[in-house]
Amino acid sequence: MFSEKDVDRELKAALSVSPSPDFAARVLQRVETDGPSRSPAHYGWFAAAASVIVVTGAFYALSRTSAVVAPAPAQTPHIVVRTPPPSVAPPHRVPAREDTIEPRRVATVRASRSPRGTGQPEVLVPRDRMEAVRRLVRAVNEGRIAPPAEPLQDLMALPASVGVTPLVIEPIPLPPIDPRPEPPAPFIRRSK
Amino acid sequence: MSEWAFAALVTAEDVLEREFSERLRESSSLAFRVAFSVLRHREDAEDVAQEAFVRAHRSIAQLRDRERFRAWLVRMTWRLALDRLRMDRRREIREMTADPEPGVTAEELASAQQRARRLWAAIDELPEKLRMAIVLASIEEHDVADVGRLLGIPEGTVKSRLFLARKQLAEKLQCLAKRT
Repeated sequence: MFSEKDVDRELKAALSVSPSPDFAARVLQRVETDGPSRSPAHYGWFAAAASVIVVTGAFYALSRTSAVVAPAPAQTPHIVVRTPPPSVAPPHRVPAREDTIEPRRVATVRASRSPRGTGQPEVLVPRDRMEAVRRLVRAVNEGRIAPPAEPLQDLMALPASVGVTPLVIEPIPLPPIDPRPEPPAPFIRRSK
Repeated sequence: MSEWAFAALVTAEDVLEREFSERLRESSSLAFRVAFSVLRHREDAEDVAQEAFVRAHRSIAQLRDRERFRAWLVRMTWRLALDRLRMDRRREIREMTADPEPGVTAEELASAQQRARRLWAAIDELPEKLRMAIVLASIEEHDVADVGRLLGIPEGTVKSRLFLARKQLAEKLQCLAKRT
C-alpha cells in the first residue's frame, strides 16, 4: 500500500539529480556566444521601418487607383482614342423595359490611361459614336482631314456676342368705365 | 557619451552580470531538475536548462528580483522541456533513474530502477497542473508557499493540487504494483 509519504519519498529520490559540475561554465559560455541582447530600441526601429513601408505601400496603391480620368492638356493637336479588344468589351444591351424611372445610362468607353509623360489625353466616347470617332481619328492621323487649328471650345463657354431683343413698352388696352351709379335694390317689407 | 555616463553604464552592466551569475549558481539545480522531470534524460535536461538560462540572461534587466527570476526560470524551463519532448518523441531510451549512490548493490539498483519506472509512468498520467505542482514540491524542499510563488498561484490552490496529485499518484502506483 502506497501512502502519500511513500509517494513523496519516491519523488524526492527520483528528482535527486544534479547537473554536471561544468554546467554553470557552459551556460556562461553559451551566454557569451549568444551575443548582446536585443534592446527594446532595436524593436522600436524595426517597428518604425515596418510602419514606413506599410504607409508607403498604401499611398502608392491609392495613388494608382484614384485618378480615373486625367484632365486634358491645353494643346491637343493629336487625338488618340484607344478601344478595348472586342472580346473584352461587353455588347451593348437594350433595356427590356423602357418605362423605368431610372435614366438611361449611356455606355461609354474609357480610353486606357496614357503612359506618363506622353501628354496624350484620355477621352470618354459614347459607345454609339465610337466608330465615327475612330474613323475621324484614323483620317486625321493619315492626313486625309486637317485637324482643327484651334482647340475645341468648351460647350459651356459663352459666345462672343449675345443678341438681345430690345424691350417695347406699350399701354395695356382697357374698356372705358361707366360713371352712372347702379340702381338700388327693391325694399321688401316682411308681413307679420 | 561622457566618461561619467560610460562608467555608470559599465557599472550597471557589471551589476547585472554579477546578479545573473548569482542566480545561475543558486538556480541551476532547480532548472535542471525541472527539465529532468519532463525529459528524464540528463544531456537533454542540461541542454534545455542552459537554453532557459540563456534566455533569462537576455531579459535579466526585467528579472532582477530573485523570486521573479526563479518563477520565470521554472516556467521557461518547463515549456522548453515540453517542446523538446514533443520534438523528440522518437527517442525511446530515457534515463529512468537518478544518480546511483555509491555502495549500492545490483539488486538494489534494479529495484530502484523499477520503482522509478513505475513512478514516472504514474507521473506522466497526471494532468500537467498537478504534475508541475508535485514536481516542484519535491525539488529542493519547496514548501507550499514556494510552489505558489514559483507557479504564481495562491497557496490554497497549491494545497489542493498537491492533495489531488498525491492521491492519484498513490492509486496509480498501487495499480502498477499489482500488475507486476
